[in-house]
Order: sequence, then C-alpha cells, then structure tokens
Amino acid sequence: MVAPTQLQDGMIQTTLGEVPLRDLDVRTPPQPETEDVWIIARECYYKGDAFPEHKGTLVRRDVWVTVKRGQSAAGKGGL
Amino acid sequence: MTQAMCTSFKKELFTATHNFAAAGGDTFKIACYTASATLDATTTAYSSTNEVTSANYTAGGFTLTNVDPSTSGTTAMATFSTNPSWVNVTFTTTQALIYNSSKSNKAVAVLDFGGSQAVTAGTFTINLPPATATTALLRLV
Repeated sequence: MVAPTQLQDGMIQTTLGEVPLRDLDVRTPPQPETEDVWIIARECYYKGDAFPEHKGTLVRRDVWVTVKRGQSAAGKGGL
Repeated sequence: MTQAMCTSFKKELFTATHNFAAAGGDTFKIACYTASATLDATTTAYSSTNEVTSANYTAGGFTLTNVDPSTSGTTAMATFSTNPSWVNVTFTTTQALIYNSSKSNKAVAVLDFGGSQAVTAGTFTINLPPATATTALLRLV
C-alpha cells in the first residue's frame, strides 16, 4: 500500500483557498475495510482566525483507495 | 456495483482486440463514477453518464501507463505503472471503470471502492495492486 503524502508546512489548498497548515486540524479517521479495498481518508478542519465563520468546518478531504487485488478472468474467488 | 472483469473484455481477448504492450499498445483510461452508475461485469464500454464531475477532473478520466504483460507460473497478468490520481478535486465516487480508449472505449474492468468516497478540494488516489500471480490488476489463470 502506498502511504499518503504528508501535508507540507506552508499553504494548503482547501475550499477556502490556500490556508496555512497551522490553521488546519488534520485528522485521519478510521475507515471501513472491505474485501476489495483499504481506504485512508485525511480530513482537514479549519481552526484559524481568518475565516471565523468556518471554524470547525471540513475544508479539505483527501482519499486513498488501495485495491487489494485485481480481477481474474476466472471471476470472483478465482486466483 | 461490483468489482469485475467485464465479460465483453474476456471475449475480446479471443479476437486480439486489446493490446497492453508498453510500446505501441492501446491507450487505457480509468474513469470514476458516482453511486448512480451501474457498473458490473455486463458493462461493455465507457459512458459519461454518472461519471463524476469536478474542476481538475477531465471527463474520460486518467490515462494509464501500460506495463508489458508478464507471467508468473501459469498466470499471465497485465497492469499499469502509475497510480491514478486527481489533484484538487471535489467529488464523491463509488466505483471506477478501466477501458480501452484506442478501441471504441471498450470496457475492461470495474473497480469498487467499498462505498462512497468523498473528496473535498483534495487528492483522490487509487493505489493499484501489486503485480503478482494472485493480486495483479488483470489476470489470466
């Protein structure tokens, strides 16, 4: 599985435009695992002062879907 | 929706329709769809109906980079070298379709994301599985 990239210090693209990383509360909530995929989600909630009306709001969400295995011509359950 | 190798694709293998060669092969793409799409083994071709829309997402999806097909034991396999990803997008997707844009957008396989995956002003990445006899993206056993 390819690990998600870390947010770099500096300005981060969000729904509010670019905001400093320090103004974001970054979380990686657990995601359900299925037979076919692993999911990693990274959520950024705004905590800065520039947009007080958006405090606590989700302003960015990244998702990584890792496909555990592909498809065989033998169909599901086949090698 | 369900993860599947499209039945039409299996038949098309017998007519040498698809070429996965790294040099001179066909161009394959992967497109993401909303929960309203009904993709499964019976899907025969790409359609823009219920494809996700977003700034920085081009209709038709991501162009994949072919890797020469290989074998491991009695299994032949095909995959792609670059994980599809879209940067600074906002959409919710539940599934994706791999298709051959060089051959009338013929469908290859459906990937299921295990539910709705919402991306907000962020990056959506599909990590393709390792190219082994039991996990490669496309396998003939």
